[in-house]
Amino acid sequence: MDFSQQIAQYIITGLTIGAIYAIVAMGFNIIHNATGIVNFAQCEFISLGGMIMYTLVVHVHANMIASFFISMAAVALIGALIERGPIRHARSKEIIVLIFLTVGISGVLRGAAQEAWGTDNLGVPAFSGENPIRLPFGAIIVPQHIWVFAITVLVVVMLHYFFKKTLMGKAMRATAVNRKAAALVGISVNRMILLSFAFSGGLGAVAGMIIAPISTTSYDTGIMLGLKGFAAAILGGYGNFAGAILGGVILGILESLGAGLISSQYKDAIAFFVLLLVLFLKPTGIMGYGESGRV
Amino acid sequence: MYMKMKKEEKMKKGSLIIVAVALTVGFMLGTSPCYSAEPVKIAGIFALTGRAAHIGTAQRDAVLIAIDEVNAHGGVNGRRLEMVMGDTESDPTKAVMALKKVLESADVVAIIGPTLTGTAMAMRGFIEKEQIPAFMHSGGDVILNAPLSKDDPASLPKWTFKSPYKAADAMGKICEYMSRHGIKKIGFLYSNEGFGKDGLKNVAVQAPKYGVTVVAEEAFEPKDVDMTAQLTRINAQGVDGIIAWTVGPAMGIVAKNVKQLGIKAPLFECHGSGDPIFWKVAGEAGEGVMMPSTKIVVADQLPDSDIQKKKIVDFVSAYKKKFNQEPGTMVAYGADAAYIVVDAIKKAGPDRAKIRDAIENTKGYVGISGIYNISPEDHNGLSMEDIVMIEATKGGWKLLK
Amino acid sequence: MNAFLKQKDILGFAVLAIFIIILPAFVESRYYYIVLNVIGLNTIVVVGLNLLIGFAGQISLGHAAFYGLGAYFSGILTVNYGFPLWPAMLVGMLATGIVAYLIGYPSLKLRGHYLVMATLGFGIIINILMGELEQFTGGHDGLIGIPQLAIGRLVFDNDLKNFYLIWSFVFFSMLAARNLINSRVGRALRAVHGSEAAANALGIDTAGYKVKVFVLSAMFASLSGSLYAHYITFISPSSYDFYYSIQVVTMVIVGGMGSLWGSLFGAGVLTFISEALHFAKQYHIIAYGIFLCLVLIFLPEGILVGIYNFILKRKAKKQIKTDY
Repeated sequence: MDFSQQIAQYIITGLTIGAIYAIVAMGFNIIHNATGIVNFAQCEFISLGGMIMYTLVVHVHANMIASFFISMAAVALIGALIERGPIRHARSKEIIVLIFLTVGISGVLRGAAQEAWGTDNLGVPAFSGENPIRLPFGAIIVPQHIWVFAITVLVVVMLHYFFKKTLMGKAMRATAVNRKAAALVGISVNRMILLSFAFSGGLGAVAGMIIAPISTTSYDTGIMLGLKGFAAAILGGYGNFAGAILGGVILGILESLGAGLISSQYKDAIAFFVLLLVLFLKPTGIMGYGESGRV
Repeated sequence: MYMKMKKEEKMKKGSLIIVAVALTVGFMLGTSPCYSAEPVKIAGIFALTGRAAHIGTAQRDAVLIAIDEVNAHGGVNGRRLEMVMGDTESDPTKAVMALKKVLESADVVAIIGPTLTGTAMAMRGFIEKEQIPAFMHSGGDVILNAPLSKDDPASLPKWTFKSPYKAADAMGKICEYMSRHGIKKIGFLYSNEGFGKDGLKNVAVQAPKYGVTVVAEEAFEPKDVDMTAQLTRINAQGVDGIIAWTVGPAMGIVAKNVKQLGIKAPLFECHGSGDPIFWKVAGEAGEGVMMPSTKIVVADQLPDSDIQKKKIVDFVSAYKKKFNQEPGTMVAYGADAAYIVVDAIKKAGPDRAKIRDAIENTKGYVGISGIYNISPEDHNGLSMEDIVMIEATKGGWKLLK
Repeated sequence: MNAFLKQKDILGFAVLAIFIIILPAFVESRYYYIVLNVIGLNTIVVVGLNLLIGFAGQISLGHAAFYGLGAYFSGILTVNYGFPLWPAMLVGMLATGIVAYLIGYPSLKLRGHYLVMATLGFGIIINILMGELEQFTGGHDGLIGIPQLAIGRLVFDNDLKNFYLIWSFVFFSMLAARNLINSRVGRALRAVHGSEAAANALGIDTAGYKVKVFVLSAMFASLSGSLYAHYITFISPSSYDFYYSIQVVTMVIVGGMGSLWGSLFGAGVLTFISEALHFAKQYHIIAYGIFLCLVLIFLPEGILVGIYNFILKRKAKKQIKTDY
């Protein structure tokens, strides 16, 4: 493999993992826009998506497509339950308290997952086989990579349509901009928040499921992916959808190129370092607007 | 007055019943069938939660089987063997706390575990100070090699032993196999933590011994999901073979990446890969991957002349019956730690110092990981002879020559 | 002009001092001592962190790095270079302070979630460096053979002696924090927390104060890290990952943000619960998570403050009832 082929390989790898980060970032963004908090349980959504699909496909022998949607719905339901339960009933609405409440919830989910699925890694079968495909630029991928890209694009398109064209999507955006005004025009803010958690759950599950055949899944798979997804969201501008995609892609490629070209030992340090540099130069992320508040 | 008398009668009746019950129970306890006196207690400290949980729970299970077996055959000199358990939570600080907790039961005579090398190193100093024999099953050679005090390079641990064979020997086995099969230039891919980096140091020493040159070294984070960048770089150097030194899901991911990139050079993995979990994470891509291992995973393929065969086969069927799955290579370490300690207790009685001496003089012990010849200089007792090379094939393993 | 110590504080410190002095008469178990010592070490970190979070209203999800830097500076200087023990600890605190300044100066210009990410990011970077810079740190295998602290001929070589040592430091750290809170600087910090714009308008150098308290909190953590290193005599990068950072912030919240005694309480309760739950075997992760959720849902001001407020409320309610 000559140098340009190597670069092509790094870029494809970076785009693949970047797509995952982008989806996770979008999940973080939706909840941030609706509630202003960081939902650490997002990490668990990713793990659970992969693991529920594993159980359905490998143990129940369900059809793969059906398993995909059932898993997505299940995790969306879990997200909704989290909102309806602990989050809604929390006595304090202070952001830092709610954030750490999600940390606690994350721990409970993780412990429960460890009980249910054990501590071993689980292999999920690829959606359509594992025969390598050689691309024009010399990079080699497997069909799962195509699924990752295809589903990511689909998710982005559908979310875009949802938020721009449907009434519910517009209502959610309205809630994000100004809660009081949204309530005044008759939008049920509580329902919008519930929906945002459900969406976030579904997105996390999708991310977990499409990467599971490549990376295997386990009760703690989601932590690193969640962390980097959050970083991608911040990099692109927290709360901004285009930013999530941009942030995810940039982070993924940075990591991959860093590993390939500079040093595989320091690749995470390099990626985070660049992230910090960007933040110091543009404190609200690449596409973010300032966080304003009343004085 | 009538009522009061009734009460007194009732009370008398009640106390009679209580005394009767107490006598019966006491009688039953006193004449319980197998065991008299108090049980012999050993401590088992494993990573039952946290990032090493899947290894720690497997090793705990192996130790439990060994203990069940001992108790089924009369215990230790007529006394039941009991394990007090501790959880290191895969964290060195928690490991030390767990250690102190079990030491509070002053009648613990020996320790088995822990799982992770970091936790082992944290516990080591306290174990040596406490003077209690500990048979560890963590992988790091540094547990026995690193002196207790930097000022005195000869201050090696006296009370600490370890059951897994030296990682250096495992690496040597791979290199030796490579030299016999014409593999000269290799790439080394390792996970960026203690175990992987240990491997990097070992391969630098072992490879030249067998005429093998490491032309590329690449690292990845233990939780990474894609190593194609690193493998691409290695492959670009034109290697005849690749060693991937890691445990965990990465074992499978590397195998998949190798197949994906169409790399023809054979893939070797570490001595922790011979485990059912390898197939779960690698799937079909695991076909043809080679690794050093204990004989536990190829028990049926051993020649009948192998003195270990019977013990291993018996253990494997006991394990399968109790836990309903095949044991992986690391289960062997847990089991051997337990068996050797129990053997020493049987010989020396429940005295910490005597047990330590007995362990240190274990010679020719037919264990599951190998034949143990422990001595004051070698607190591990295994050699390269005990290691076999295996190949992953069709969901199982093939013993290689 | 505020008194140096308010009345309830004097009581608190007196109780703490008495507790430290007489406890060994009642406790013999080494296990209890190590749990108490870990609580003490965590308390020092949490007290410093609370100054940052509770009083200055900032956040840091990377404080494990400073705890680790203290441990590693102490360890490296004493093991590799034969530095004397106490100066090494001091140098460690200063060095950590400098690192904190270099990180804090640009980071604290960020707001909200961006600050969270920045602190997370540098926490991870420093943790990676601990594992990579092998010639100094011993890499992932860790640093062994760290000498125990000593004053002259008295070597702190067992759990009881370390109990006295660590808790003396806890006592004086809390005293120092209380001093700071009641001073002009403390009031400035609370002004910054209340409203940065207003504080600025009043002429308070908010940026400067934020960085200073960040550096101070880092130095508290560094001190604790050094004490840990000399106590356990072995350190490795895995103890200083972002899980620990999250843990200490959780302790701040559970104890009560902005409450000095809450810091002690939070560290104590969470460390204790984490150990006590071992009886639940493998369910202890779930149990801990549930406990945390319950506290955050029902006592979000922190357990100590929450209970205190609850008692005050009931007193007030009774007062209202009797007034009629």
